[in-house]
Amino acid sequence: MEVPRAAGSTPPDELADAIAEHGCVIIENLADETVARAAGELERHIRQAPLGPGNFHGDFAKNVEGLVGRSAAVHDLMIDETVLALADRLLLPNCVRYQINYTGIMHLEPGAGAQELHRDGDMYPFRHPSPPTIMATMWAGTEFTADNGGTLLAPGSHLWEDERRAGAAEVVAAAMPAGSALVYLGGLIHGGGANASDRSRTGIAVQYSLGWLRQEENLHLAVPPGLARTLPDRLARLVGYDFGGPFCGFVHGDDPHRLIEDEPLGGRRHSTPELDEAAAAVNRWRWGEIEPVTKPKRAS
Amino acid sequence: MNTLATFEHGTPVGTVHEFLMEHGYAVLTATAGGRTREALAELAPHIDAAAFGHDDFLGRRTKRVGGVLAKSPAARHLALDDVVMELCRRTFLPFSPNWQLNFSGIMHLEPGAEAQRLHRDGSLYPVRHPCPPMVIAAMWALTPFREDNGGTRIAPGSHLWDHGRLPRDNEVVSVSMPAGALLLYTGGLWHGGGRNRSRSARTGLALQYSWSWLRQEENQYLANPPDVARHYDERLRRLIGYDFGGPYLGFVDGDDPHRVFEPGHAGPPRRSRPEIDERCLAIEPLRLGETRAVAAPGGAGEAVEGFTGPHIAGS
Repeated sequence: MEVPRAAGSTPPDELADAIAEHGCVIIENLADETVARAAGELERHIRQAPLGPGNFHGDFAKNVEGLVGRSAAVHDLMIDETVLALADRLLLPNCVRYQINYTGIMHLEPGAGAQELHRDGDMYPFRHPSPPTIMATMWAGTEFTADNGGTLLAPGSHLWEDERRAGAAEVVAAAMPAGSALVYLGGLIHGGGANASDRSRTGIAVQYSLGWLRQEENLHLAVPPGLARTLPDRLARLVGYDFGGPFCGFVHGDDPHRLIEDEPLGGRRHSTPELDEAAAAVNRWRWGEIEPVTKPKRAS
Repeated sequence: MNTLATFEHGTPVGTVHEFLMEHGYAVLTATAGGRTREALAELAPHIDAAAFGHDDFLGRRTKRVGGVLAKSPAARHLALDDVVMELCRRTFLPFSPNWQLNFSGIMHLEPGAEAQRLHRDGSLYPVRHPCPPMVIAAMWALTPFREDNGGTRIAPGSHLWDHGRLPRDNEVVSVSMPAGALLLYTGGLWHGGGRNRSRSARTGLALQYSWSWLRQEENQYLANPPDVARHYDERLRRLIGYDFGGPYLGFVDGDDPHRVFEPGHAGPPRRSRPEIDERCLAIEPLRLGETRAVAAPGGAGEAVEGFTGPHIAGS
């Protein structure tokens, strides 16, 4: 059982094919300098966060969400070109616009136990396997190893039937140097590993989802208009100051992006020709028998 | 012509729900007391100030006002109507751990307004019909609705039709109802605003509800930001989205989104509520079938060019 690995220079079509087949890929040293900056900017927030109950990973773990408001370097990771090229290919067959779904630090102190294996996509009530609803990235803020809590993955499990559980032999730890990105689909069975080392392990998680689904982290509340105005425009759109599709997500009868523009609202724009055209090409899901595999979309 | 069934106030909700699921619509009389009159009075200045639509779908003699909850206390009461909430509970919980307000809007048809293209509200989401009920629309009549003033045109039963089948003339009926009455329909029902050839305006207040794990058609967080929503009661705040959409779904700062209204609260952060967890366990996950792009019936926007236009036979 292996996690496919690739260099950052690998063409996105190849990376997308690997993810479609295995449910995951490690892109080594994709953004070393940016990740180092982000880890530095987030260090204070990690230090101040409490350990203990309420966390995803238990007593020796810390979770800090709302990263958009905490680190400028993380903004660059959120709009990393390679990652967005993968989201284009893996999510756009099933939505007109994708969105950021979740931002958070997954920090494991020495002694942290392994997290229960799960599928991120389970928050939507679709039977697996289903078309990808989520594409997750886990940026290695520190090195990830098998003994410091590197993410446990069951490669290929995004195509398994709902009921099938991962056997011990089907699970492998994601090992990667700091600055790398693990990219996986919401259908992949995975979980944080146990940290048996004497150093902490820090992951920076950024997830993307189909733009017509509700976000796991409410980014309109985490990123109010005043903060959104200060962001790179691509990022402001990705957190939700954009349509999810024609007639999807408007405010005051207009494009939510207008809230962070200088022009006043009131153009009564519920869609655009570009959105309408994209919507006509998007898959429409039939509720019934299974046809789960979506081919990655090709760059045109 | 109006052959639509109308339920009197006080009809058991179970009866209304059964009819709604079978026919895709239900009309209820006089359920709101004076609330619709109050809503019309509160919203009248906003309607006066609103612009007409800039295209045929939005209506060149039609005015729309969104973000209605922030503008009208009476609309906030209507949004929580007991009968509507019970219908939502019965309709949505088999498919979603919670439900939410999806849209709020005034649809005000001035004399001369043309008929709107028929459409399905659920087509906002990339599904093929028929599909389980994702959306329920509640259209409150703030003025009387009649055939000649633009009463909503619906095709009863069409929520169960195949994706490509369009309504024919003789399958479409105009809704007539007095002010204060309520038209309910599901997101799969073909419908559209009627043509107003009368001498007075027709005003409806549309409140839509949906599964809580979908993105809202109208963004309620931006339309009702925390400093506005803090004046609402907790039930309404949770209904518009200051609540979990399911376990782990929709949190803020790793906590219940309603805690934006509870500064200085004690206790560990919450990723769910027991009631939401319980409902989640009762849901049978949805099985998805084919996922290909399909031609939208009737062309752009999946809508028919008025019901006197060309028709495509069922496919």
